[in-house]
Amino acid sequence: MLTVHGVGKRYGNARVLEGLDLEFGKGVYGLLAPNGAGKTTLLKLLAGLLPPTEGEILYEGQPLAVLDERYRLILGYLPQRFGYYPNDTPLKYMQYLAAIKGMDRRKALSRSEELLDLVALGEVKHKKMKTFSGGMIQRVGIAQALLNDPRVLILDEPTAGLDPKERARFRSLLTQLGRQRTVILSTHVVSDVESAANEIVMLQGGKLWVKDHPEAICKLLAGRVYEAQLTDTEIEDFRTRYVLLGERSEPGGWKLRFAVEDGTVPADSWQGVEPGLEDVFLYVYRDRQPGNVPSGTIWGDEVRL
Amino acid sequence: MNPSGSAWRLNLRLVGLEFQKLFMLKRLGLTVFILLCGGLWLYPFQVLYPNSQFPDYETTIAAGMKAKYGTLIDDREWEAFKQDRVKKVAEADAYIREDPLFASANLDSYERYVRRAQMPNGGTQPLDAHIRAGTKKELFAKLHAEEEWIKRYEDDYRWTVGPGTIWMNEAEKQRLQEIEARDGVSVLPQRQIYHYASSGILYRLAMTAMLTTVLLVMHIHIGDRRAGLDELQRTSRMGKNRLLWIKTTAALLTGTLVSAVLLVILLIAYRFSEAWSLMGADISGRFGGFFMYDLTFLQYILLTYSAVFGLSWIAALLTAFYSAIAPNMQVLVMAIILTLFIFFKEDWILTRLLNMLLYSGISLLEPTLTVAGLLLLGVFLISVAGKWRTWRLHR
Ligand SMILES: Nc1ncnc2c1ncn2[C@@H]1O[C@H](COP(=O)(O)OP(=O)(O)OP(=O)(O)O)[C@@H](O)[C@H]1O
Ligand SMILES: [Mg+2]
Repeated sequence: MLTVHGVGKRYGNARVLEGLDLEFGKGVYGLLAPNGAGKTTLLKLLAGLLPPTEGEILYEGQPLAVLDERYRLILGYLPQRFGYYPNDTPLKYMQYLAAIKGMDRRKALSRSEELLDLVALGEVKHKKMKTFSGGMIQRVGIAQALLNDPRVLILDEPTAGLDPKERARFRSLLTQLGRQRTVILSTHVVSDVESAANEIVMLQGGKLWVKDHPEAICKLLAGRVYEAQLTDTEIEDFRTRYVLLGERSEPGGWKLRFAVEDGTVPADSWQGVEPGLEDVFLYVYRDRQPGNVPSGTIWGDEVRL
Repeated sequence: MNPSGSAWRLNLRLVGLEFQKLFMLKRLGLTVFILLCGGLWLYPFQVLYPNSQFPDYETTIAAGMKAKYGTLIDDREWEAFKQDRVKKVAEADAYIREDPLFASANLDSYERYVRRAQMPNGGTQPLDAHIRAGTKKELFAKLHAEEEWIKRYEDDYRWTVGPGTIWMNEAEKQRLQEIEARDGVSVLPQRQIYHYASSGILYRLAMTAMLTTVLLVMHIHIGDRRAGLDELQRTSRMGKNRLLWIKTTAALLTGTLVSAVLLVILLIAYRFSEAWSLMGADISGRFGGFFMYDLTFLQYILLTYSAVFGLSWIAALLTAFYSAIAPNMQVLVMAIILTLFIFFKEDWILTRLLNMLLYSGISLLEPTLTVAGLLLLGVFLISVAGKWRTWRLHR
């Protein structure tokens, strides 16, 4: 059990996180927030890479700083940005990381090979990593985080650069991993966590906004999301009055998806729809938030912020 | 957790991995290139291989005596040595008697020629030149060297050491008596000590070792940082602090290996020179010099060479420190150049330290303290680098 107690983090004078109280047991936790919201910062705090400015983080009741090596022993971490020596092969790279994780030589080799197979890189394990694509590198990153079979697995945007097939494979891996351990991952790709995560954590203004099951979060917008067929002239009016969640060109005009204030009476032509996690994301982080929804997001495709 | 045995094995393996990362052929190539650009690196080795242009009869004589009488020559053996010369002198006599130029100078024996040559206005210069141009040039040169050799032996040792005696303290005077009281005289010629000490072999080897070590070690931390391994290392079980010391060990190992390789090169160079047979001879004596310690020539070389190991370790530690804290490559290179300058600058650290050792009539305490002090400084700086990183994170 990973417990976050009244944690805040400042970089110099810039406050990034404030008064966070969180608990992570077994399962998959998706950290969902827009760019610059402090996801990486929170994950670094959880990985013991950064000390919190205030509050404390405990694992099984003991502060991370006290556990130190004992915490790193059970930790797997994928940084948002990480690197490698271009001439290293993934196998050599994994073996080096296994060594600094304290694994013995034989185990390091077998585990490295096993994990490279798992992320579908078994065929190229002897190729130099400088010849790899971004997605392949990212998969090596995911594999290395699993080397020591960690109890706590922290993944900072693990799906960045993965193609849809690899994304799907990763999602099923997540579900599997979450059964036995604590998996915390950040993303701004809603579909990554919508189905695979047991709980979603959303931050707003450096504070915790919500931490709940995906369905429960979707319910927050229940009865307030609609679709409507509109002409060009009507669209501008809608833009200012409602929160736009997506638009799609259709013969004879536009199909708009939008959310309304609580208590708004829908017009007859509106069609009520089930809100998805993406709708909530767009609604919560709409333009009044800094760094927010670009208008013109194409609904139906994947939304990337 | 781990029983301590396998913990050790793990540490060793990690040191090995870091060490492997440092040894890149490309960087060794760069080192060789820089050394070649530095020019004439091998120059001092020439003194080990005399040729007809710069002959070294002294060493030849010494090697000959060593073969016959061993490294310590007593009075009886000296007499035998002088007897051996008789035949050669007779050959020189015959040459002189046959030559009209000597007759016109009124000389009929080698002995008279030598005596004349020693007179202030002996006027033997044309004769000397005549001999040098003639067929017996080598015979005369050898005889001459042997005369110097004998003269040196027969002169009072204190006189040879010279007026230096009056500046000697009690310990040194006692040491002088000790050397004088030996059953014989060490066969090692002064020239060999001089070659080793003054020709710059040791300086150049030390500089080479430091430069090579620096070039190999400089990437040790900054390389990983630039590659982007920092966070992976910091969240690994070893953690950054243990890796810091593992890498420090690897850096020291690199310095050790570089120094060892150069030592082997030095010894191989000696192995194929005439001086090799004199390695077992004592450095102190009428021919060698005056040293406070009983050392054979080989021991003297190894002792003074130990400074190269020390300097390489210092270079390794300082470089590792810079590599750990430098914000970028430019700063790192500047810091390294500045440090090497401070070490290499005439009369600052390197030459001063090596001179203290090479002419160790003086005590060994000072150079030992110097090296130990610099090593401690290096270790201290590394631990500062570790603390400094943590401190920055907490800001
Ligand atoms: N080392 C740092 N020094 C100062 N400010 C920082 C530092 N790291 C992050 N920040 C700031 O903290 C805020 C949160 O950054 P963080 O990287 O945690 O966001 P994020 O949610 O991971 O964003 P992204 O989705 O782009 O990865 C940003 O405003 C960023 O500018
Ligand atoms: Mg981030």
